[in-house]
Amino acid sequence: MKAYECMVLIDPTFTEADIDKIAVKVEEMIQKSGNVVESTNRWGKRRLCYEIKKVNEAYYVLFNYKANNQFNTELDKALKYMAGVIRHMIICTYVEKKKTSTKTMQAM
Amino acid sequence: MAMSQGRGGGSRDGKRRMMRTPRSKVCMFCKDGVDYLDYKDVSKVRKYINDRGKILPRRVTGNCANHQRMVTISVKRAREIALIPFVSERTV
Repeated sequence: MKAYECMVLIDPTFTEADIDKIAVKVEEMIQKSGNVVESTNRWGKRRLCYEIKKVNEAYYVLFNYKANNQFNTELDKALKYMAGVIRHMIICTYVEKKKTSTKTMQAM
Repeated sequence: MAMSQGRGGGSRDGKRRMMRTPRSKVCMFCKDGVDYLDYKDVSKVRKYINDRGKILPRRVTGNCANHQRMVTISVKRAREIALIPFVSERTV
């Protein structure tokens, strides 16, 4: 299990309830296959820096979760064809590296 | 074009040429001990692009190779989710 984060941009022309449904749906999808949702962060509506699918605004939702790599391809495919999602991005969450000094390395 | 260059460029007397001592640039990430630039932090990522939306080169930012690579990844991620533009028109 590795930590990932998924950013989803939802079409703002959808109603609040629909946007909420999509966010919950994605969350459920992650949880369904035994993965853990650590946090969901709803940024709300933001202006886009460039037009995507003829819209200039989007509702940003960020999911932090732990999952297997295989699940990511599944989620990627599902989000690609989900109605209302105008863009998404899944990346590996940054984990701080443990710095081991040269002295301890030598000792090992 | 070649003509104009021949006329203007000569500085044999050395008066025009500014003798600038090169400033030694330090990688700000190394200095602060920062290992990661978050692509979601728009104000920080924006420091590493110019007004056209291009990534600033190493000779401008002064970053070390490792941190410059990290910056480019963050900028490209921010572009993908439309937090910063791929290209922006110059407003004149």
